[in-house]
Amino acid sequence: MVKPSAVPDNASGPNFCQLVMDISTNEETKVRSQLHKSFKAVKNCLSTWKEALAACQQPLYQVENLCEQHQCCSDANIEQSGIIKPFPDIKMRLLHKIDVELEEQLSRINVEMKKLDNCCERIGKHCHYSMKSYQENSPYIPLDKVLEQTPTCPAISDMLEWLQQIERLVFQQYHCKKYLLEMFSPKNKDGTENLKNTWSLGDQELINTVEEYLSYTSFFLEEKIT
Amino acid sequence: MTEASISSKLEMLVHDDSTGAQRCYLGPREITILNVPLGSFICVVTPTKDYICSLWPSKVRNDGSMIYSKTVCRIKALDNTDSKYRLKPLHVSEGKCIHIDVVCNLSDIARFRKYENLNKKISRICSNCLYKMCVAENFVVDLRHCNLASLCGISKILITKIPSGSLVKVDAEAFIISSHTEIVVDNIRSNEKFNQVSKSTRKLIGGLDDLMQTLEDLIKLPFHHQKQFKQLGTSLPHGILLRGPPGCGKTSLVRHIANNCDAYLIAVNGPEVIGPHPGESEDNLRKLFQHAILAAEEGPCILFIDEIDVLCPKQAKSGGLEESRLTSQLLTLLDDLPADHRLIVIAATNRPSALHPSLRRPGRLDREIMINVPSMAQRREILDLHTQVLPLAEDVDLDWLAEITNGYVGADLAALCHEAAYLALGRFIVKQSERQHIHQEDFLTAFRKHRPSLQKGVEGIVDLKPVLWEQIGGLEDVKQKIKQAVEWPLRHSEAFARMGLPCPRGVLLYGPPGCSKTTLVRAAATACHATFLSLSGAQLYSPFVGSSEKMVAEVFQRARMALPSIIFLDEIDSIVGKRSEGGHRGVQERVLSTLLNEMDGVGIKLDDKMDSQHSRRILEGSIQDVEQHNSKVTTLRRNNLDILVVAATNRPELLDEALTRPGRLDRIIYVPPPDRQARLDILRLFTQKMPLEGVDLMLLSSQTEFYTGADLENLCREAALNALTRDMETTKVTYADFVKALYYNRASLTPESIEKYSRYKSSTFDVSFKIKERKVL
Repeated sequence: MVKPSAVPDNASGPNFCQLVMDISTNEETKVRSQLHKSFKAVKNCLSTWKEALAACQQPLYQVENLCEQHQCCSDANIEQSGIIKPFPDIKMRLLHKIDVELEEQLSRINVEMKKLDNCCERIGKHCHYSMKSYQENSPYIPLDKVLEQTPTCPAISDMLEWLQQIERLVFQQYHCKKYLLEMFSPKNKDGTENLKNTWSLGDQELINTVEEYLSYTSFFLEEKIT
Repeated sequence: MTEASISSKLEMLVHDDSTGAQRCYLGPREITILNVPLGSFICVVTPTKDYICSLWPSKVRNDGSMIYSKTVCRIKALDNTDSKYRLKPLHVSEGKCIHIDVVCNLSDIARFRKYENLNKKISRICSNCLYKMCVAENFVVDLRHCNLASLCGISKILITKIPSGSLVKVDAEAFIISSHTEIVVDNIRSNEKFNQVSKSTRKLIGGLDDLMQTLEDLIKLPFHHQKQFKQLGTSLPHGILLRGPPGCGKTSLVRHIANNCDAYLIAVNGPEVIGPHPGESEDNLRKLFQHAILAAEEGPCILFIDEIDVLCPKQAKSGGLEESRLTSQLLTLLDDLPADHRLIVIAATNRPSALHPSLRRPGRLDREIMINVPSMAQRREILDLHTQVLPLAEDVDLDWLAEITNGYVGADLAALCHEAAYLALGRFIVKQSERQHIHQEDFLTAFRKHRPSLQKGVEGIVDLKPVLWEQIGGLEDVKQKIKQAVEWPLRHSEAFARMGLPCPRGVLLYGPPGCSKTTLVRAAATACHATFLSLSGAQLYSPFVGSSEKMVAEVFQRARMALPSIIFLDEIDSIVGKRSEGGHRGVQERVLSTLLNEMDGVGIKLDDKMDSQHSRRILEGSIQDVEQHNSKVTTLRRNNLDILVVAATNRPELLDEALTRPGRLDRIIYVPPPDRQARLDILRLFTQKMPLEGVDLMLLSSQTEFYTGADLENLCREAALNALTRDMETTKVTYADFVKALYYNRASLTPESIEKYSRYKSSTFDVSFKIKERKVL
């Protein structure tokens, strides 16, 4: 993981972080501990997310291939050629076979989609908890404490904002993929084209953003908040 | 500190973020003042729009700055009088149900229609797009940066209604959309129409009220009462042709009507369609119609083709293959419009006669509507409208301005007002005065500077040097006659209408040369603010066959456009002679016949006719109701405003009899050489500014018999020059100078020539006497 440039190289180790975690009030600790949990969850989700995406690649490639086969097969005018006369229902059989295979690949993708959905839900919940925890305790935490940031520990406000941003991005990305799968049909050329071209659009951006936020919070995550 | 104090210290920065997150970033000081937790929603109130954003600290933590996202906005401000930026914390609750309009591209609408369970699918997509956003009624959510929305082709979502009781908290001003919020899609609207509606400002149009009503009925009825049309079995009108001179408001009228009828307007200029490659123009036209038909599926749609004469010229004249292809393509497209369409085609042209006739048959452009050059009352309305926003001084008389701006179209009047405002602005800057008003004088200067667009590029328009009646000495009787013939029908048309008098068509002034015939006409034109067109022999004759006649016809057409108008034919004997009996047909004869036809022919060319809207002909035997009867007087008044042909000659005997008969040049006025009293008046006028000494003008006037006005002018000039020759330093003109001048300047008239005119006068006396009898007021 890339470390944030704002952090000096020698600024590591428990002593430095001790200084940062000088929490003035009990309320602030509560919020920070919730944020700690949330970012831990985000970190876990990110690895799950990446794995799921990687696992989708193979079946997606298959789907693309099968779609091409499906389209070629349905477009082919095989009834008229003499060679296939002994097998009159070959086109139907072939299409059925392709369909079955497609179903299988799609179900594999759907399994991965379920994982993405879980990530989405988990991040959403954590975002909600963190915001709730902050809003409940906000009357007791002075604003300068909320905005206070050190080289190793970001401000509460920033972390909350990042969490919301991550939640938004993940939600959008998941629903984009879901929409593409819904619109997909081997008979519909547009849907297939869309799936091929748009599936991984924005994936890298999402991963980069989340990794960036995680790297800002890397020291904070190493800390134990009591 | 209060909310207001934040705004005074805020330095506004617009945030057009690429993430589309609904956030605004403020400095710590402002957050403390607002006293709400981070992440809560606030409303950013600007003079024109309101935005809903969640509150976050700015990245650099500097006070006094704000960056806000424009994702969720409402165009109408909460408080229009407030010109400052304000921040307002919002009471937010979770919403149970909202109604929305989805805005997407036209092509995507067609795609959406193919879906099964359309509304359910779209509402789910919208729910995902709006997830965790904070919205309120009438706010528009811009989804440009939302990946999911752009994938589905949704560009905006308009929150139309929040049913009462759907909010968890009663006093909430805005609400957050969660996965549990039920979303009802009321309408799917096209991006194009949405933008047009939100952009359109209700610009008013003056002086076209009755026309607007007719057009609105034509457009609204088929759109809103399709069932009744079906029951009656009548087909819907396909198209409307608007015709009228340029600048009279054809385009703005259509825009206004589209706005009133809530129709989507596709405006295209004729030349825009034409492409450089073969077949491209037809393709463009087809695409245009396809787009319009697609848009018409959503709601009423108007396809407006401006300058349609470029697309469909008359075949005979152009002969070009491309034009004929384009014409037939347009005809086919008009014929192929679906039967129950909600599309109406409006075409506009200022040269209806150049249009392909097949385009104007029923079933294509069914209706033709003429927009005329505004009359005085219409000009007054237009001026009222344009001066609404201008700070006018008390001395501005719009009625008078409307009277003098004859021949001005709407665009000219707008330009006039702008010019006046501009002149006034220049004065304010020089004087640095605080009270800024536009005075009558500014309008007058602008009026002198501005030339109405109808008069541009026309032969015969002259820059008239204004002459007042008082500047013409003597000839009281003739002046009175000319006033009767020229001024009265134009200025006192009501009196003419009351007495049932037709207005004279033409006036012939004849008399010896130099007796101020031309000056008299100039004075008449100055007095009645009519359009003044002058034709002379030199202008008219050209080496090309037919072009002289064409020019006469053109001048008459222009004169008809800018009624009331005076056409002045100086030295008419040189323009049109007498028809010879030998059978030789020269250009003079052809011009004469054109002139006779234009003045009093069977009728004028229908396409050139300008008053189709105003004069409703009452057919014999038709039943007239009271309203019609009442309107008759006003109609008469309008009809009275006509072209007046004024001709001048000093050889009246050379004129064709057909020209001098009643109905053409029916007022024949002899402008005699000045008598003794008149000569005295003339001499007084010309010596007004001369330092005379011992000159008896009475004596001089008796000595100058057979001198014309021009001779007398010359005499006075010579006398003054004589005085200067005598002594350069002199300050007086003496009688001796005049005597010397008399010696060298002989009278240009002779008793014989005057005798000739009197003979002619006695021969035509009977005719003019009869007419005179009728015109006594």
